[in-house]
Amino acid sequence: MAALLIGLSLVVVTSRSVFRSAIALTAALGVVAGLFALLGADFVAAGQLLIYVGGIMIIMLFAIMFSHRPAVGLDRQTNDQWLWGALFALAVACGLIVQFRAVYRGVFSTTVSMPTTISIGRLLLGDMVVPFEAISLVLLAALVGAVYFGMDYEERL
Amino acid sequence: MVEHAYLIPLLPFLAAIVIFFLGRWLPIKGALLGIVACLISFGMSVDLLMQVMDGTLKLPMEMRYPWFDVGLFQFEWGVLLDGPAMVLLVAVSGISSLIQIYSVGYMHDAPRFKRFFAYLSLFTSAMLALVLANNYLQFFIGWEIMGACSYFLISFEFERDAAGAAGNKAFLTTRLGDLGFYAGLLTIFFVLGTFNFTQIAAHLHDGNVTPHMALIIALLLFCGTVGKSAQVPLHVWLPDAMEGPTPVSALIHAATMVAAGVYLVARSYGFFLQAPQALEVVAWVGGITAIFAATIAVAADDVKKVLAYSTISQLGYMIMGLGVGGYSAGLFHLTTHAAFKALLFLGAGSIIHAVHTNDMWKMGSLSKQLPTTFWTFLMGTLALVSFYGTSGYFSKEMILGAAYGSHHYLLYTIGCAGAFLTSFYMTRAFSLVFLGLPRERDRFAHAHESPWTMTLPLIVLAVPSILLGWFMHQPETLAKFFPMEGLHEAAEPRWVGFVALGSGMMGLVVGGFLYLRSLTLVERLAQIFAPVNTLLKNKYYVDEIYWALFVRPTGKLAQALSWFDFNILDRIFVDGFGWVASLWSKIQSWIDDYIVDGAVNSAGWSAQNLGALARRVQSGFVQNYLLVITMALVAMLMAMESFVGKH
Amino acid sequence: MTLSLHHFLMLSAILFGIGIYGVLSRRNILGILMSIELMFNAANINLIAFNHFLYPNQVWGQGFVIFVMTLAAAEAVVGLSLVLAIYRNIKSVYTEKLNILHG
Repeated sequence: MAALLIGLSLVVVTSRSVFRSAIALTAALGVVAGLFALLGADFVAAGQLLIYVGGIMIIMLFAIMFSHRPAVGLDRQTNDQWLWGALFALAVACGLIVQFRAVYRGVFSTTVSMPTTISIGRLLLGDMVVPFEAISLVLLAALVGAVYFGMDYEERL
Repeated sequence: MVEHAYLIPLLPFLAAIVIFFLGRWLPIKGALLGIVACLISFGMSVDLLMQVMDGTLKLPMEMRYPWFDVGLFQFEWGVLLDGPAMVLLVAVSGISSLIQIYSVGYMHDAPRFKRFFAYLSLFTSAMLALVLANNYLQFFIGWEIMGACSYFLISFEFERDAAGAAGNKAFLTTRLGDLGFYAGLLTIFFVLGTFNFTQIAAHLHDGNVTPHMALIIALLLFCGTVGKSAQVPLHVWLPDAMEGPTPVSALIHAATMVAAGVYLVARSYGFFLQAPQALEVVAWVGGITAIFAATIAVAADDVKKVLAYSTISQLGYMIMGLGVGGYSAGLFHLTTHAAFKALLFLGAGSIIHAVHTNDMWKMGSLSKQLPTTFWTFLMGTLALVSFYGTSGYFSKEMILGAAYGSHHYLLYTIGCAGAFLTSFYMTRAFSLVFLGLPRERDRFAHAHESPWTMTLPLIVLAVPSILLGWFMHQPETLAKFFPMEGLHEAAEPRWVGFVALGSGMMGLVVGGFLYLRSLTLVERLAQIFAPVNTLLKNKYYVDEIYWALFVRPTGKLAQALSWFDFNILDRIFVDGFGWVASLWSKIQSWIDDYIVDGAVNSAGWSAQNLGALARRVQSGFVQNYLLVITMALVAMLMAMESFVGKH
Repeated sequence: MTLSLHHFLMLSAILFGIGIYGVLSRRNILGILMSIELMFNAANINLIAFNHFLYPNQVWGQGFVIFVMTLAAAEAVVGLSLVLAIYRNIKSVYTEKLNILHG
């Protein structure tokens, strides 16, 4: 599953066609949901599927459709600093891996999975209620902003 | 009074300066000042003379005023009053005053009038300084100043090329003689260490000068005389000097400057006495000059030229006189000649003023129109031809007598022949001008007598011309004024004097006959003797010979040198420097362009490129920014971690 | 083999690196946005893994992940609307066209 994920993500970032990237991303997100489930986070996995796959990707696909121009379909899609970017990414990844490996090498899981929804609910409305409310404000702001930027120029003023 | 003798030359000198600078505002443009100064000098000279005459003043008398020192030698101004000096003082100052009076009339409408008088005064002061000099240096200074003034005055009307050329010729020719003079002065100083006449005389007396040295000195000094007194071969300037105004001719070329040469010989007589060969040279030069010039005067058509050659001839007589041992004779003739020659020149000026021409063939019968001039000119002529009783008679007699007495028989004969010619040409001139029939009617009709400023001097000069001889010819008087030790004037037989007189009278008769009675005979003779006539008319071609031998080669040499200077020296040094300078400036400009400007340009270029370089950071490319930011972030974290992690 | 924590962490690291590469080198702005989503997911995997392995009795990790997902959604929305605004102005979604700041 991990390999699949990596492969998919590579496709996301390297594909010439933005469509293909989007599809690959959707697939990758689905795989991530599976990973979550594997790790005993059933609620999160479900949430991932709902939010990401169902919501965000749809919007992205709409946006891609909206802005696609046939003429420039198949140019390359990496810019001029791709090499530097690759090197940097590699460096970051390796650094992280090395660190993680050193620190967390032999940690194994010991428990058995059980449904977590109730615990999450209790957590959110208990210890994490402030972030919970704050997030709703953020969502409001995002909503307003998105609508505003979506308006026509004359309407905006 | 005698202590102020130095004023005699000083006053005209000051007058000259004042006239030159302030003349515009003085009465008669400064002429009055000049005349007054000269008259004062004259008065002082006469006063001194009087003192000598009644024995109040003993001669010789010397006063010395130190001037400057060079090492051990002291140079001085000084006054030496002795016989010759006294006589010449009176003569020069007197004649100069008269000529200045005359010039007021003659030059009344000339441009640069005041400058003329300034020069006249300057000249007079120089001559007086020379006469009074007690040492050779002062003598030479006066000599040279006179030479310069002569140049100025001859070429006074320098708008005419002929006048300018004549001035040049006079100056250069006398300069040539002055070279010898100068060399002689140097030799004197070298041998004797002093210029003072008295001291030199003492040296000579003590026998400090070898005959050999004396000969050299004497001959060198004589060179100056040959130039200044227009002896052959340096006589060529004097006829040309007639281009100057007539008063100039009278003053300079009759009475004073040319006399300076004779005076030089007289002052240096000590040297000559020690070197008899020098005296021989002097005598012969004088004799040759006397006859040579007289022959040319016979054929001259210009009245002033006749007088000029006559002057040369008479100077020759004086020199000859000194050369044969007639010290007093020569100086006596100098004095009388000053008087009557000045008279004759001034008379000629009056004639020219009346008829506006110099050519005698255009004159005639002027005795009717110019009576005063006629009579005074007659006096002068009689003196010149040494008609019995005139002063000229006495002086020339003495010279010829001295020649015979010192066994210079050939010179005596030459002198008599010269006397014949002198009478001849003077009679000729006199007849052509004043007697006979008028040759040009218009000129004759317009001729009128000159104003009193001109005729007065004529009259005044006529007196000594005739009478001076009576006063001075007594041996005692002569000895008082022109003493010379160690000279024995031999007594010559009586007939010597008569022969001399006779030759003069013969000339008178022949000349009068030819030119008064039968001019046609003259023409016929001219045709018969045509070659001789041409030779004489062209002055023996001396000028042409000199031109070919000396003047032209010098000119060519000057041209060659100038070519050399121009093309070679200038090329190398002047143009060369210019070329080097331009090369250097080219180098500098190259440096400036490439190196200096290069630095400037590179500063600009580097600024531009660094800027371009730096500008690349601002790519406007967000992902670029992002890359850099995250890299920096990671780097910082790692750095922090390495710091923090160690603790 | 038994999975250990570090396996998951490696995975998330790799994912994160890929995401960075995508952000820095894609021309299409939407591609960049998608790469950002990848990075978010990588972080989420990390959180869940830590939660599962180190703190099995608690659910703080999961709660945090929920917040992250929410924020990611909000950010994606805003980003997309910006892209649309840009598109309207320059009629392109490629980053090299957005170089007005170029110096």
